[in-house]
Amino acid sequence: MAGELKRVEVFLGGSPQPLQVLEAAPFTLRLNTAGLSDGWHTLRLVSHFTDGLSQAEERRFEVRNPPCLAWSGLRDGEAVGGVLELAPHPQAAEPAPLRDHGMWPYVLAAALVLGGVWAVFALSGAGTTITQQVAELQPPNRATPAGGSQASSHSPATRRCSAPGRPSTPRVVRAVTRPAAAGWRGLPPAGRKPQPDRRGPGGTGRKERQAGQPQRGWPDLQRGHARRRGDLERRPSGRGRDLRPQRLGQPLRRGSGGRGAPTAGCFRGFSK
Amino acid sequence: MYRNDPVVPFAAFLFGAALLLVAYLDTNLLIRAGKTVPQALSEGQLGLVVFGLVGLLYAAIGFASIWLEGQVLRPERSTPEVPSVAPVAMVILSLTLAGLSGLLVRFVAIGLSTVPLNRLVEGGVFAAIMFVAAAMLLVYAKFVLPREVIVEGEEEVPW
Repeated sequence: MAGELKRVEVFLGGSPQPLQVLEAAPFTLRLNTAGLSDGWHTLRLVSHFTDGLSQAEERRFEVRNPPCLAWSGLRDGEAVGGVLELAPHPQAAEPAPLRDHGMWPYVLAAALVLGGVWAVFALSGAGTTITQQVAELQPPNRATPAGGSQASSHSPATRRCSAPGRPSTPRVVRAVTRPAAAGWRGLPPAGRKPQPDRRGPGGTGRKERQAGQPQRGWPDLQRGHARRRGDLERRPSGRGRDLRPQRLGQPLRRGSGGRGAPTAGCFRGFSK
Repeated sequence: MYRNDPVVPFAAFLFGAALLLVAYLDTNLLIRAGKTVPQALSEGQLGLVVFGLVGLLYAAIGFASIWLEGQVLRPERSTPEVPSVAPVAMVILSLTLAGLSGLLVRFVAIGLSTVPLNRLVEGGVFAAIMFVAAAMLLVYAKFVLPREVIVEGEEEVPW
């Protein structure tokens, strides 16, 4: 390591005489380029150290001072005649160039704004509200009232329950039809038998329990609900026939609306 | 001078719409005749729907080409000037796209739970996302991308 800096000589261009000599710390060079002509110049800095060593560095720089005056009244290459009148105007200094930050601020701002909008719909309660109002499906029994539901008239379970020559019993069929299979989940495939609902009394849809809908209908016809609340369906004629589903292989009770053993597919949902 | 004719995409639009209408009417006809709701589309209905969608897609490509390049093509190379409405449209479309994608994510998250959702609405939101993305590409190609119309030799058949 060299000794401490003792003196700095500043040479401009190829001049043998130094432009400045700095002999005291902090050895800061102050150069007024207004006294230089526009164009390229070379600055040579020679540093002398206390141990006798020296070091030289060269820096090239371009001086481009704006003109102090601008003349108006005659443009370059303009064809003129008669008396010309040119007037000088003081010219303002050149504005500082804009600082270029690159693309990252824009990318970051776009990500924040778009991500915020995305999060409002995807993560906040607004998306849930919109979903409930727009996309949530109503249960099929309430969507098509007055016994006109698709499940009671077109589902495979209905067709299986309709024996030849005997009218179908829509209420029994609706009771044994699995809610998920008859409504929004879609009908089960042709080769797939409907499975019993094992969700229990708490397995109904969230919206139905909150809305306080009537007890009969889509979710409450499951086994747990029907037995707990005693909400068994009866015929609308008021004769009070018990339509409670029976076990498999046992004959229907008197007045249950059928003769003989029920079709296996009809009451599979309530078998134990 | 070459023409970008709107007759062909318009005919494709009519053809595709007619096929989709036939598929729709066929489904309703089956429902009324058999008094049963078909659980799935038949092969014939699938073919009608697919070819109808192909016709509509071809029509959309043709109309987009007319909008981007004009009906009369002149060999040139040009850089479009960006009007002030183009950035505004891009911002609006970007925000719409972000909102719709968030909504679709919400639909999927809720649909995975026990709450039943209307699949038609879910599919509609996804289709809207695709349409908005296509609109963004169209706006970008129309107002930002430099375009070049060149003339190829008619003797050279590329296929």
